[in-house]
Formats: sequence, structure tokens, C-alpha cells
Amino acid sequence: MSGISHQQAIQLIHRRLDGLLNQTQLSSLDEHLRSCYECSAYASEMDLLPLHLRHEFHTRWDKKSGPSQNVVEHVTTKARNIPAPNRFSSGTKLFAGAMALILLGVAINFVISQLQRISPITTVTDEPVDSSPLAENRLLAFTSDQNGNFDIYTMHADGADLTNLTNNPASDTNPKWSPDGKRIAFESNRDGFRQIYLMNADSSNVVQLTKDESDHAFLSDDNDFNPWSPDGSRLLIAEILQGGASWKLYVPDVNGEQQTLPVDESPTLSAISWSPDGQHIALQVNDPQNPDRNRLYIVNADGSDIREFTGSIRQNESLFFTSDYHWSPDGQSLFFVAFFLKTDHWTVYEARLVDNSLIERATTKHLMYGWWNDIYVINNASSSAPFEWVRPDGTSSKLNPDEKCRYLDLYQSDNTAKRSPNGNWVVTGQCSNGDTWLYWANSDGTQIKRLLDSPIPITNTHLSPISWSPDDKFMVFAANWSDESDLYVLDVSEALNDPSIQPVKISKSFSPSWQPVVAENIVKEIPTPQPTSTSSPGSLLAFTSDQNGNLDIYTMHADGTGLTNITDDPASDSNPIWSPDGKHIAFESDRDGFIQIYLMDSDGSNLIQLTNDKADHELNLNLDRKYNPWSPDGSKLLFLQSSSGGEIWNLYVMGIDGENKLLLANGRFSFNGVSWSPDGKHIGYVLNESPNPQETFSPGIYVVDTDGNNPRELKKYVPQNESLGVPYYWSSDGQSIIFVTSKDNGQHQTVYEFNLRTDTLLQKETLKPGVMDWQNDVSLIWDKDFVWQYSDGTSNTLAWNNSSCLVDVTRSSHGNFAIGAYCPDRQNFKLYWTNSDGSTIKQILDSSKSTFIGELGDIVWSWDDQYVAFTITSAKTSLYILNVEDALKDLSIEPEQVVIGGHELLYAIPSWQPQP
Amino acid sequence: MDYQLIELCRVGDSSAIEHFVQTYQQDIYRLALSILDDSTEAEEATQDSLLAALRSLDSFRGASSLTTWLYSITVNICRTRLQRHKRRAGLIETLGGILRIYKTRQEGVEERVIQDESEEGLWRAIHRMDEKHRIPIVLRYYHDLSVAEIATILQIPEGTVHSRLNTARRQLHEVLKEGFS
Repeated sequence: MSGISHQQAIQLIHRRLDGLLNQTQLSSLDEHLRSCYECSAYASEMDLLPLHLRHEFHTRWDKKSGPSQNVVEHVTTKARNIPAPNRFSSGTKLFAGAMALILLGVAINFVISQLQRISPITTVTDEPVDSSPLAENRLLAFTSDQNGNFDIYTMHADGADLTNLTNNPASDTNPKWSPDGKRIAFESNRDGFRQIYLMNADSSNVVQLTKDESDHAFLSDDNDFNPWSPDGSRLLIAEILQGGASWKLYVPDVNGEQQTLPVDESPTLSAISWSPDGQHIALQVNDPQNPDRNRLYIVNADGSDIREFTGSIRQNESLFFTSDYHWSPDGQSLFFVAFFLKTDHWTVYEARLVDNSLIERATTKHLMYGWWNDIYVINNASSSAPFEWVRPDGTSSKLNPDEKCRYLDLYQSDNTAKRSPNGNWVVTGQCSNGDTWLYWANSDGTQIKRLLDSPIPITNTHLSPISWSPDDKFMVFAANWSDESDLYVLDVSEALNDPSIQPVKISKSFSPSWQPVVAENIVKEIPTPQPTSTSSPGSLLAFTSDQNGNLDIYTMHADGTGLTNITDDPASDSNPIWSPDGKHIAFESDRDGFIQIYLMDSDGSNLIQLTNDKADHELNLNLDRKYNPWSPDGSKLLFLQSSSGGEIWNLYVMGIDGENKLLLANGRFSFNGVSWSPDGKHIGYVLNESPNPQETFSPGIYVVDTDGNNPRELKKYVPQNESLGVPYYWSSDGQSIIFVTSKDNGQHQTVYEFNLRTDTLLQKETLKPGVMDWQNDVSLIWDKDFVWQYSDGTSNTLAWNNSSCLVDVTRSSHGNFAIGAYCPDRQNFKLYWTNSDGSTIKQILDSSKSTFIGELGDIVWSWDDQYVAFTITSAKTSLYILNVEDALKDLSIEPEQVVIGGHELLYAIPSWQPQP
Repeated sequence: MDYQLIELCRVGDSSAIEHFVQTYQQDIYRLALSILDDSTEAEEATQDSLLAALRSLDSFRGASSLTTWLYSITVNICRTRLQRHKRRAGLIETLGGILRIYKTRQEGVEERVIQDESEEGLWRAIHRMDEKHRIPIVLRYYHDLSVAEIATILQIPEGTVHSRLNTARRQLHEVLKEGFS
């Protein structure tokens, strides 16, 4: 015999079939086959198999002609609606130069804009605004000359309660809310110089903070710049010297006691900001003496220890900052994007205060708008879809302009995009015809949609930076031209539901500032937010995903945080199901060549293989937790083992140590029909008893005691002209099983209750066709509408009027329903919450967003009814988690999304960790 | 690879799109048919795949051949359809067969291919196989693709493709042996 074993020979035979052997391996195999009759025979049979398969396939499929000519017509017709991509004649380099010029001009623009604000008095032209009530009382403060001179106004986001707070013949400008939302700082020239003043939100208690005989100002062109220290005790103010040729920075406290920051001479400050902890101030400086080299300083809030972080970066390069820089939540790091003109690339750096180090985080050849939590946002001018979110796993999403703006120019302005305090995005795009369109995206760009179905009615203007309200509900920006400026306020959450709405226009206004509300932190830059759940903060969701290229088990919190691959094995790991105590996860894996049942702790440790037979095994699908393979006390597991090539399955129960395996039944099982009774004494199962399993489904419901004794076939107890349906339900005490039969070709249905102690059948009621659920004498019936039918003949209805939708109805352990439906003909996805009897029905998700268009998987409730998880599959499968409690209050709440399947077919039901 | 054709399709040239569809529809249809085993479904999947490809031509970077890229799109679309069927089958079970909307298409008698017993058994075994194993087998032995090409199309490692082919072949070998015995 040759030097290889039989087993190695078998492996090589298979590798040879796939053309994966090198010459040495081929020689070894040949040598072995010459001396081993058994292996040689196996090799011959395996060599014949492809011939059989090819013959089989070609015989079956080659005779079918097609496709028909309809395909050409259909595709070419529909393809006309595919937007042609944008073409840019200008290259990145040209834009890079323009960008640099824009950055260089920021300071000059600021001075000019300050001067422009003192513009000729004009008359009021606005009609009274709609004063519909608001859900909250947040105010927007801004500067307006509606009354003929500049005053500070406030109003609600919908335009209601417009109030002139200052009403002073001087120019009052640039309001900035204090962090507690109680005071407003503003600039005014009441004493002949522009000074800084404070007032209460109702305009009372006006205090002049600066008094030197020179002009003073808040230094920023960005509406989101906040001169207030995070604790509201101090303000960042610049004294304007030599007519604006230089500046001097002060940090007075609100009582007027001043402190000077050590930045003197005549730098131009392009952006300054407080660290979230109030301990430091960052300064971006453009030195006129060295105009192609921006500098970043961080100084202690008391003026001490000024440090430059840009001195060592590419000293022979031109360096410019882009508009974004932001602090880490703990105030210990500052992230900024630098553009290098000579080498034409953008790099994001992290400046770390703890050791004064500078770390390069990402580099790109395209304009980088910013970098947050390993996601960077770029503008690729050479792409037809230039705006792109690039995620750490290498995937990315692009904003694809549509046919309404074929020549979308996303980079005409440096104010194109704005990230919200909570991570969402608004992107503006100005078309070549002057239209401006708004787009919304979530933090990683996995959800992108056009916000409004018509362009904003402004043309050929310069947009000011967008300012988001701290809760992401509203955004505001100014459209500027010549010496005028109008504000536009949009209810973003409303626009996401109804793109036909229009922004509220406030004429002759600028410098908006959103009022913080109580307990709201203005700086919400939290990279890993904690779960919002209050009732089950530690609860995890386990699910199958192939995001790493093969199927693995992952867990994460309901808010999408803490995503962890807990198996990380090259084999296919799938179908995780939590033990009742929430400590273990049972799952399937083919790591030994067969699908076996494994057990592990919730973090993936202490892995145990429970089944070992050379056959495939399955845990029954945990649909709605009704068919949980775990015994209620967590000591045993139900599983199926294949035989006869997978047509017949054996149902076993075993201890969670893999011992005491007991065969309960065999046959063709319904994939959603195996379950424990609530008292753990019985096991129910459904067999497909149709003559041909591929064509029809004829269920037979059986009950057997846990020890395998006393099997009962429920069909024997019902009249012969009635057929059984699934699902079935256990009574809460586990003593009865409830099921529905149908007769007359499904026209009549009957609910039965079978008593397991007495083996007697009780007829409960007769119903119309379409029973989807039955509990406590209330039936849920779906025909074209959803109807909750009571035993007294009354009913509640959720009007649907469409029977062509794919629906999933899931009852929670508290009796509430989640009803989800994807209606292909209307390309619409809807999700409803109802209470147990349908007396209260509320929609919790309504989106025609492309990400929701696809096949709806099973909806799974969390154990506390706070969340539902569900999958939607189109080109890829995504897992969505919706906070039902929040969604019941606010329909605009979006679910968390995780792409779990791009490569494999996924029919994966997620499993919520129980909270004992 | 016809870059000019792709470029023209990208800009929406209708004659280029028609040419593109004419060129690739047969291959895509054969692939869809072999996965879905239903000519109506395969035709619909062919339409969907071609439209999806035209919509996402921007994402085609030429790293793989255009055919491989189209196959990848088609496989994904077919899998979605298979999943829909599985989902629908689950719904029908839930409804207890009452709505009776899940009817198996009746194949015409003339389309039935009478084969010897072993191959009938082979076909049944292929039909019963899950997609994870069936699709690689079909790609390998009907479309004559290499393991590397299958890996690219299914976006899984080559080792995984080989492992799945291996498992599937073992199963089918057993069926053949039973048929012959």
C-alpha cells in the first residue's frame, strides 16, 4: 500500500473531483488506488456520479425553452426608469483646490457675513405661520430683521409662537442657548460696540457681559458652535481687534469675570469648541503668515498648557482642515480630518490628550466628511454616486441620486452634509438646474432615503451649515444670497413618514440655535450607547448571520450594541435557542461533517457537542417560542435526527449533558410543530401525513408523554370529514391541547380542546375560514382583513383589504400581537401592534423605504414585550429590532438593523435571552 | 468583456440595454431554472436579475467576470424566491391548509421525463437537498463551473464549496448505490 491511509485516500478522491490535487497528491492517490480494491471501486463510483448528474440535469432542463421575448421587453421598459449616473467633468484635484480655497475663505466669509448682518431695513413680507400644536415645547432662537432691524426671536419648530425677544433699535444678533435651556447669550451694539449680553428665555434679566470699548463676538460660522461651557458657567468670546485683523479670546464666567486664553498675535480661528467635560478648548488656527498650513491647538480651560497637535504632521505638506472635528464623549480625544494638498488625500487623526499623541485613523483619496466610530463618510467625485459611507467591515453604502436630479452636485458647498448629535445624516444636493434636494441617512449609511418628494424651493444660493435639534427631530439651515437670508425648518421625523411635507420658511432670518430641553445633553456623541431598555437591560438577542463569510451565532443588545460573534467557527453554526434560564444557547453546527446539536454558555464558552451520530440533526424552529426545544425546566432538549436521506426524521428527547436519549416518534415532521406542554409533562408534534410531501401538507397532531409513553393521535378523536390544522396551543396548565379543524374544503372551522387527563375532546366553537390564532375564546381570523372574533358574536377589525400580502402574526407571551405584512403589489411593509382582543390597534412601523422591501421573516417578541425582532430579505437578509414601547408613542421610530445574510439563504429565527 | 456595452448601459442607452439583455438572458435563465426548477419562476427571476444588474452596474468593478457577477446576482435573487416559498409554506401550515393557495404546479405529461429507477431516485435526492448543498452541485455539474468560480458566485470560501460538494456527493452516491443494488 502507498503511504496514505484509506481515509486520506477518500479525501483525495473528493478533492480530485474538484480539481484540487497537485501532481504529488495525484501520484499518491494513484499509487493507493492501484493497491486498494475498495478505494478503487469507490473512486470509480464517484467518477461516475458527475456523469449521472450531468445527464440528469441536462435531460431535465435543456428541453425547456426560454426565456420568452417578454423578458427583453419587460427589462428594457423597466430599465428606462433606472437613473443614469452622474458624470463629473471636474476631477478630484480640481475640487481639492477649490476645497482648500473654501477653507481658506472661511474666516473672511465670517467677517463679511458679520458685516452683512447689519443690512438695510426691509419690510416684513411673511404670512402668519401655521400654529399647530407641538409634541414638545423646544424653541428655536434666531436673528431676524422682520421688524426692520436685527432682533432675537424665538418660535416653535412648526413656526408657532413667533416672539421678538429683544425688540431693541440696536442690532441684536447671534443667539446661543445655555446648556440648561434657560438663558440666551447674544451679541448687540446697544452701547456703540458689539458686546455680549445674556437674558432669560423670556427676555427678562438682560445682563451685559463684555464692556471694553471694542467689538466682541462668538467665533464660528457654524450654527452648532456653542460658546457656552458644558456646565453653563462660562462663555468663549473673541474680542475683535484692529477692525477684525486679529482676535483675542476670552473665557468669562457668566458674572463677567474674564480670563484670557493664550492665543495672541493675529491668527484666524476657523473653529473652536469645548471638550464635553469642559476641561479643554480646541482651536483650529489658520495663520496668515503660513496660509497653507492649518494648525490645531488644545488648551486647558483655565488657559494653561497650550499644545499643538499638527506640528509633526507631514511638515513639508500643505495641510488644511475640513469642517468636521469632534471630541470623544470622555473629552480625552479629538478627531479631525486633514486634507493634504500636494498628495491630494484626506486623513483622519485622533489627537489624544492623555499622552499628547496623534494617531492616524483612516486615509482616503476622496473628500472625507468625517469619521465616527470607524465609519468614514466620503465624497467620491469620480463616482456616479459620490456620497458614500464606508464601514469597518469594508462594506459601504452610496447615496444614489435619482432621475429627479441627474446631475446632482453634492460638493458645491462645504455645507453639504451634517451629522446629527445622535449620528443620523442630512445631505443636501444641488442639481444643475438649481434645485436643492434633501436626503436622510442613518449613522452607517445602511439606510438612505430622499427626505422630501420635491426640491426645497431655493435656487442658486449658499446654504449655511445645517443644524439638527438635539433629539434629531428637526433640522434648520439658512439659504443666503446677496445680503439676505431665509431660514428653513424641517420636521425630519415627519418627513421620513410623509415626504410631501414642506419645510417652514422664516424670511430674513439667520443664526438659528435650538433650545436644549431638561435632562438633554447637547453633546450626544456616544459611540456605544447603552441599551435603552429599562425592563431588561441585559437581555441579548441571539441570531444566525453570515456577515463574516460563513454562518455563525451572534449576540447583541436590543439597541444594536455589543454585536459579538460567539462561535466564530469555519463550519456553519445556526439556529441558536436560549435556555429558559438565559445562561446557555443550544445550536446546530456541521463542524464534524454532519449537522449536530451543540450547547454553549451565552458568551460562547464551555462548548459541548450533544449529538454524535453520523446523521444530520435539527433543533425544531423556535417559532414564537411556542415550539421551544428546551423543556420548561431547562433540563432536556428535543431534537430531530434525519434518516432515509432526510425524508424521515426521528424525534428524540435528551438531557442537556447529551445522555439519556429517548426516541419519541418518527415520520415527516412539520418544521414548526414540536413543543413541550407548559408543565413539561407532554410533548406535542405535527407530522405531515400527505401521500406526497412535496405537494400538499396534511397535518396530523400527536401528543406523547415525556417518557415516550401514551402516544395519542388527535385525528382519531375528530369527525372523519374534518382535517386538522396547525398551529396548536397548550392550555396554560398544560393539561389540554387546543387545535382547529376544517371541513367543506376549508369553509368551516371548528376549535377543539383535548383534555390530556381524561382523553376527551370538547368542541369549543365553529368559525369562519382563516383562523390564525385562538386564545381565551377570542379568534383572530384573516381573510382580506384581520378580524378578532369573540364568542358572543362581536368583533374588532383591522382593515386590510388585501389578501395578496405575506403576513406574519405573532402573539407575545403577554398576549399582545405583532402583525407584519409585506404586500408585493404595493411594495409596502407595515407592522402593527394590537392588544390580545384587538380592541386597541396601533401601527408601529410604516415604511416604503427600500430597506424594508422584501420577504418578511418571523416576528419574535422579547420576553418583556418591549421589543420585536424580525428579518427582511431582498438581495440580502437584514435583522431588524424595533423598540415597541417607543414605537407606540412615536411612529417615526426606526428599528435597529443588522445585515445578517448576504451570502447564504437565511431562514433564521432570532432568539431572545430570557430574563429569569 | 465589453466595457463599451457596460458604459452605454450605465448611461441608459436603450439599444445597449436591449443588447445586454439579449446577450445574457439565456445564461441567466438556465441558471435560474436550475435553481428554481420552474420555468415561470425562472423567467421572473431572469427579469429581476437583469434589472438588478442594470441598476447596480456601478458596483461592478471588473474584479470578477461579468458573467460571474451576473450569476452571483441571479443566485441571490433565486434564493430569495426559494425563501419566499419556504415562508409561504410555513404560512400555509399555519393556516392549516385552509386557504389552499399553495398548489403545486402540475407539470405537463409531455414534459415528464421517464427515467430509470436509479436516476429518478437521484433526482428526488437532489430535489430534497437543501440549497446550501444543491446549488453548488448544480453549478458544478450543470453549469460546469470550477470550485473557485462557485466560491466567487456564492461569496463563500473555496474550502466551504468543496466541503459542501463533498457532503452532497456522499449523499448522492448513497442514493445511486441503493438504486443500483
